[in-house]
Parts: sequence; structure tokens; C-alpha cells
Amino acid sequence: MNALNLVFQFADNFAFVVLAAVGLAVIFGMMGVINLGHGEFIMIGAYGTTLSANAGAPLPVAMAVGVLVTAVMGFVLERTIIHRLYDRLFDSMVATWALGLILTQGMRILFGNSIPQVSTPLGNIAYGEFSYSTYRVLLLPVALLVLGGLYVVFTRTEFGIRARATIQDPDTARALGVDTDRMYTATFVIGSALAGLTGALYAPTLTVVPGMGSSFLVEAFVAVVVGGPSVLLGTTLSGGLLGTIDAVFTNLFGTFYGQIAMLLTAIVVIRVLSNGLTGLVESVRNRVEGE
Amino acid sequence: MTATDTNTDTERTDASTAKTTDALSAEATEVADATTPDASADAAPDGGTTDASDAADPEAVAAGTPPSDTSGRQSPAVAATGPGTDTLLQTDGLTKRFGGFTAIDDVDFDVEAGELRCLIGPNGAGKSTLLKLITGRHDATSGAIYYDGADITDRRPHERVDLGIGMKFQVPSVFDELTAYENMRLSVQRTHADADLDEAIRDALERIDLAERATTPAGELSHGQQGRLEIGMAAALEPDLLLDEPVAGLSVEERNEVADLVTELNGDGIAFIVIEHDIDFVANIADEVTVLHGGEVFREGSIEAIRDDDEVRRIYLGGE
Amino acid sequence: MGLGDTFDRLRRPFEGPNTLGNSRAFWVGFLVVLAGLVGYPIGFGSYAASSAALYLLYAILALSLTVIWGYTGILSFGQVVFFGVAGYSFALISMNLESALATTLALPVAVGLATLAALVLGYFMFYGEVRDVYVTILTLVVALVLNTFMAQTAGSEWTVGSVALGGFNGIPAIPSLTFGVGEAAVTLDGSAFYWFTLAALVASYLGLRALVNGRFGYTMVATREDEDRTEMLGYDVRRVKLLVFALGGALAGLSGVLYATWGNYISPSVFGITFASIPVVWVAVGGRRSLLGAIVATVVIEWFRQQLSATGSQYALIIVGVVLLAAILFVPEGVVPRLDAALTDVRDRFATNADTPEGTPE
Repeated sequence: MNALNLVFQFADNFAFVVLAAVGLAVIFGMMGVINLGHGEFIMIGAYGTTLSANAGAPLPVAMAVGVLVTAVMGFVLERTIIHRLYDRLFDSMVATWALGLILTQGMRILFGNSIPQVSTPLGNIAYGEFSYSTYRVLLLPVALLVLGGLYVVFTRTEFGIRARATIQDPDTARALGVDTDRMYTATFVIGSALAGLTGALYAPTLTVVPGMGSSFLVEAFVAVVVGGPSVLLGTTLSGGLLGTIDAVFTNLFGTFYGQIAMLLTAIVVIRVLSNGLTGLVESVRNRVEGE
Repeated sequence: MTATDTNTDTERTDASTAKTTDALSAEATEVADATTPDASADAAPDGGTTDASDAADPEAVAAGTPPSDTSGRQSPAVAATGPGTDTLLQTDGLTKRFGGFTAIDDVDFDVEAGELRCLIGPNGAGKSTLLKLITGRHDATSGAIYYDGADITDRRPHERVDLGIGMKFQVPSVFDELTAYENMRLSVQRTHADADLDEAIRDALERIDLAERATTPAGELSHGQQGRLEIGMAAALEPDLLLDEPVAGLSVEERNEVADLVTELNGDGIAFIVIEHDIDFVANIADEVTVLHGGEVFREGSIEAIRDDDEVRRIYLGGE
Repeated sequence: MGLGDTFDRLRRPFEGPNTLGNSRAFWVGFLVVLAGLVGYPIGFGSYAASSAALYLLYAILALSLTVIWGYTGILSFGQVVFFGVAGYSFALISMNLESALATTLALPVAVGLATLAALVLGYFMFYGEVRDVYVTILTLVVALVLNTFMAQTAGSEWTVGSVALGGFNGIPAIPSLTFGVGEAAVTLDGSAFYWFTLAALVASYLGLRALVNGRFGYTMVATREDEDRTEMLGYDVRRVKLLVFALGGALAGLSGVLYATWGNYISPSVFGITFASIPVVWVAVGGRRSLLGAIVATVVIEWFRQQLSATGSQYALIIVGVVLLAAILFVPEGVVPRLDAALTDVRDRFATNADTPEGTPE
């Protein structure tokens, strides 16, 4: 192991944490709904991608299909089920959990325990004795691009302003003519599409199986818990923190210890900062401005 | 505490009479404390720190035990020595910042046992924040709160309740899904053994005129009934100090009912800090008024003095 | 009348607005059903009893979630953590020490360890002011991490004393529940195990009924309804939540030990995502605020799952998911409380018609 190896490991982990969490974070941060079926949404994105690639579509097109399928599914589920549960926090968690169960087992029944995999494109970058998958290295800029894109959407567009108004004060937003129901639907669809994108991006690098969603859950949930309520800032910061911790511990002791370290980080962060890293940043900012 | 409460009550009446007399001649704030030994030090209009609280040890200050007190009483909780010597609650340089915004700024404020104090001030003056600091809902940024001789600045809200501080909220916050009886039980079971629980609950409901509604879920009670239930629950904890944010949106009739209840409980010896917006209404229930403005104590004195104060009128009418 | 009065006096501590079934009729029905359950092994044999014991021990796990979620408002996906911790602890203690006495003591020690685990996790969460959804997520994450951990303990370096953790395959040959010393020890198998589990379930049910209808139960309900308000009545809600969480951990632990001794086996799948969700299904479907509902739903759902998987059907989980979704959307209070309300309705109408106002004591 050397420094460069650690950097690559960090980049890989950072991208994984950010991409695993971002769809969940958008839905939670904007709507306060925890989508416990998040892992299964990712799985659907991966299936959409792999199945279309197997049917002959070029990989980028197949990925677009994966994203689209997940977004459409998100739209349908929001309109039929989720929107009834906005003021029932725990019920929405349990309901999305039930959806997850149905999706996992449904895919197993439809496509069996495994489907032919798509191989990782773009070959490897070799460096001395180390070799990295070019594709996985590229996931870091993609993750940054996703964060940047969300930043633009939520701060620079009419939609983003309306969405944030809805989150801050739904009643006032409604009084100002914002169709808050549509905002919630749109946000849920965006969150679903992002989960689908994560599934599409990782489809060529992981074994696509019905239960694959759970391999994203720990990272996704811990990132949201550690990040706190602010979607972009929180996801970026926790991606950075957890990526580092995971990289260091995985390198030193193995995969499992990376996870344990992340869990402990989450517990410590929550214990110390009730609003996650976002809360810390805000209180520091306030203190600086207060002086 | 019942015996003590009765004492306190008598004492309160004496004290307020004295204050009212003074208030007529004095211009503003000092009046409030004219009868307390440390009043001379409390001359700054916006509640400058008293000598006593700077110098003496907190216990003595909080207990309001003046050096000249000759009664030699041991426990600050026992009020026996005549008017104005029993400080129940005292804040010392209390400050609360939310980020860059200072909601409560270096407030020195004290309330005597059995007193009924009104807290007024324009919107955003810091009235609610002050109450939340006293109940422990908010943590103070700096400064200290003493209650009944003890520093409670770092105490948890429930510990403060145990010490005798009760709170009643702006929105009637009863447990909507529980019946009036069950609501009252939660309060009464704090002070009663299982054997006489049922009787005590029924008595308490009787007192607030809700005995017939015992099995009604609190959420289905009228606004005024919820207000009464809440105050009844707070009173059943047998507090020595009740903080009261009056219920918004009550009819005049309902408001009078609640006011009667407050006056009655105050007559039983419970000290009150009442937030009020309507200065005419204040005149009906209180004799002592503290005006908050911009997070600071702006004036303190009798209702008459406050009502005639041009500066107070200016902050109310002239905006903030 | 004397007998009736005694009966009424006996049932009083278990009754109150926080539970269903506060009538003489209910308790008569309860005793009849209980008698039927006690007689079950005699009628259907030891093998059937042994299968049924699984549902009963699961019902204790369901009760543990009901007190935490239904009565105190904390949705925990981590009940399986304490279930598994106790199961593994029992295996490691009893298999390392290999004596009847050790196996006897392994039960309370394992339950104690599960309680301790709940206390530690609960302390961090509740005294760290961790709020509602975060508690749910944290408990789920703890379960998932334990699942990952136990699944990778296949290597020979992962042994505790003489017992290999066994990774994904888990620990086989766990001793059955045993009470006593040396030769005088009794091992509970088949019908005996069933009766023990039934007794544990009934004791848990009655104990919880007394608890939730007492002082502490009201405090739990108040905490669920509004924590800030409860605190302003002088209750330490952090302590209340911690105590309830520990109690839930103990019950889940008891269930876990029974599980490990029932099949003489435990594996990391007890921490897995599917098993973690099952208690939530039982409790949400049966009625999260109803102890009886949780028990009934557990037995019915598990029996149903057993029947389906016995026929090799893959649809069991789908149906479970759909039932859960339907319950959340259409019967949020749960099936059993809904049935109870319907029954009360019918009886009231009947009582009015028959003109017997004194008939139903409710």
C-alpha cells in the first residue's frame, strides 16, 4: 500500500458513498421521508441497465434506460402510495420497506437469482504494481458532477426555488401559488432517478442480483445520518468523511472494519452533533458571523 | 408546601400594595424592587447587574437572603419574614444567542414567591425565549438561572419541573389522543400513590370543571377546555412557579375563564410569570410588569407606571 | 358471586385503556384459548408442538417491538440485534462450558447480555438526543453491520473458546434448553419446550399488560404522544426511552435464546435485512398498539409463511409485503384492534336491543 493507492481507494469510496446516498438524501432532505426501499430502487436501476445492455443496447443507452425505468417507477409509487403517507413518518418508512420486499422478491421471481452480467468497460490503468479499473476511477468525477448538477438545479432554477420554498414552509408556498403536491412528486421522482443512476453506474462493476440493494444501505443510511438535513452539503461532507474512514480502515484491516468504523462514526457524530455535519458547519458559520 | 403557600400569599398581597403605592410616585423600573433589600443596586433601567449577584455566592443571592435579614432563616423556601424577601427565581446576566442573533441579552430578572408577574413587549422581544430558558427547553449561552436557592442553569427540563417550575404553552399542548382523565393522571401520578390516584384525578378535574368530560379525548375538548385542562395539569404538579403563555385565539369569555383560574391559583400561593400582549388585559390580572425589548429588560414596574410610560408606548407603537 | 368477585379482582391489574380486552368475557375467552394451547401437544403430538413453539417464541420478539414502537413511539429495526446477540451468547456459553449447570445459567446470562447491548445502544441514542428516524436507521445499520460481521467469521481464527462462529453457516449443535445440575438436569424438547415457551409468552403478555396499564405505561404512552410535553410534566423521557428499550432488548433476547435452542442452530441470517423486517410486519399488521394483536398476527403470518414455503412457493415474501402495505394504507391501527372495535360495535347494538345496560362491563 502506498499514498497513491490510498488516494484511489478514497476516491472510490467517496464516489460510492455519495452515489449510494444521494437519492436517499434528496428525498429525505427535501421531504423528510426515509425511503427504506432505496436499495431496491438502486437495484431496479441496475436491472434496467443490465437487461437492456444484454438486449443489445450500447451501455450509455442502457444506463439511460435504467434511470428512466426507476424514475417512472418512482413516479407511479409516489402517486399511488407514498403521497398518502407524508404526514405519517413511521408509516412511510414501513411502506417503503414493504415496497422493497416486494421489489426484491418480484425481481427474483421474474428473472431468477441472477442474470448475465455486463462486463466493466474501459479497461485498466496500470501504475507500478497496482492496477485500477478506469471505469471506477471515472465514478469520482461522475459523483462530483451529480452533486454539482443538484446544486445548480436546487439553487439556480425556478424549480429549485419552488422546491426549497415548499420544504421551508409548505403553507406559505401554497399561498404563493406553488403546487406543493407537484413539488413533492417531482422531488420523489428526482430521488428515484438518482437511485436509478447509482444502480446504472454500478451495474457493470457489481454482481446484479435481486438482493444487491442491501449492499448500498449501510453507506447510504450512515451518510444521511452523518450528513444531517442539508442534502448537498451533508452528502458531500459525509462522503468525504466516510470515504476517508472507510478507505483507511479497509486498507488497514479489511472491508468489515471499514463498515464498523463508519457505524461508529455515525454514532459518534450523532452523539456530538445533533444535526450532523451540516449542523456543525452552520454553527461555525454562525459563530464567525456573530463575532 | 401548602402552609408555606398560604404565608407567601399574604406576603404577596402586602408586597404588592406597597409597590403600587410607590409606583405612583416613581417613574419606572426601580419601583419593582423598591421593597426588596437589593433594590437599590438594581437601579439600571434595563436591569443592570446587581451588586449582590456580582459579589455574593449564588446560593445566597438566589435565595434573596439579604445581609440585613435578621430572621436568620435557614431554608430559602420558607417564607416567613415579611414582604419581599423571598426571591424564588433569579436570572443573572442571562444571554441566549441563536447563531448571530441575540434573543436574550444579559437579562437580570427576578420573581418572588407567590408573585404574579406579567411579561410584555413587542413581537420578537424575547418573551418566549426567556420562558424557554427558565424551563430548560433552551440552553443559556451565558449567564445563570437560580431557583429557590439553587443554580439550575444546567438542569434538565424535567428536573426543573421536579423543583417546582411548571409551564403552560401558547398552543394548548395536551395529549390529544388521551382522555381528559388520562391527561390529568399523567400529572397527578407524579404526586400521588396508586391508592388515592383515582380520587385525586377526579378532584383535579372537578376543580377545572371538567369532571363531566373525563372520558373525552382531549383533542375533542373545546379550546377553552383544553386551556383549562393544561393549566390544571400544570397546577396538579404542585409547582411554586408557573410560566404561562396564554392560549392564542380564545374568545373573551374563554380568556376570562383562564384569567380567573390564574388568579385563583395565584391566590393559592403559586407564583406566575405570564406573557401577555394586551396591556389592558394585563391590568386585570397583574400588578407587576416587566417589559422586554430587543432581548433586554426595558422597564420594570407597576402596571400604572408602565402604562403611562412614554418610552414603552413608543416601542409598542413605533415599531421595533 | 364470590368466585366472580375474586376473578374481577385478579384481572384488575391487567386492565386499562392501554390494552384491548377489559371485560370478564375477554378473560374467559383468554382462559379457554390458553387451555386449548396447553392441550395442543396432547392432541397433536410432540412434533406438531415443536413446530408451533417457533410461532410462540417469535411472538415474544413481536411483543418486544410492540412496547418499544407501539407504546413508546420508537421504531426499531434492531430487535433482531438483541435476538441474535442472545442466541449467539447462549450458544457460545453453553457449548464452551458443556455442563448442564452452564446451559442452565446460559439463559439468564444471554438475556442479560442482550439487555446490556440494548442499554449501551440505547444510551448512545437517547442520551445523544438522536431523533425518531435516526433511531430507526441506526438500529437497522447495527443489524446490517452485525450481519456482515458474522457472515465473514468462517475462518478458523474466528473461534470463541472452542466454538467456531462458522461465518455464513452459523453455529450448529447448540444444546437444547436445560435446567438443573449434572444428573438432575432436565432438558426441554418437543412438548416440554413448547410448554415452556408458552409459559414464557403468557408471562410476558400478562407482565406487559400490567406494565402498560400502570404508572410507567402511561408515561410510555405520553412519551410516544409528545416528548416535550411529557418532559414538562417532570418525566425524564430519555430515561423512559432507555428503560423501555432495555426491556425490549431483554424480551428479544429471551426470544433469541428460545430460537437458538429450538432449532439447536443460529446463523448470521438472524441479523439479515429480511429477518430484521419481519417483526415490523407482525406488529404493523396486528396492531402496533396492541399486545394481543402482535401475538395473533405473529402466529398467523408465520403459520402462513410456513405453509407457503413448505409448498416451495416463492410468493411468501411478496404476499407479506403486500399485506404489510395494505395494512399501512387501509388499517393503520392494525387488524386486531379493528376487529375488536367491530366486535364492540356489534355487541353494543345487541346490548341496546336486548335492553341490558349492565351486561357489558366496559
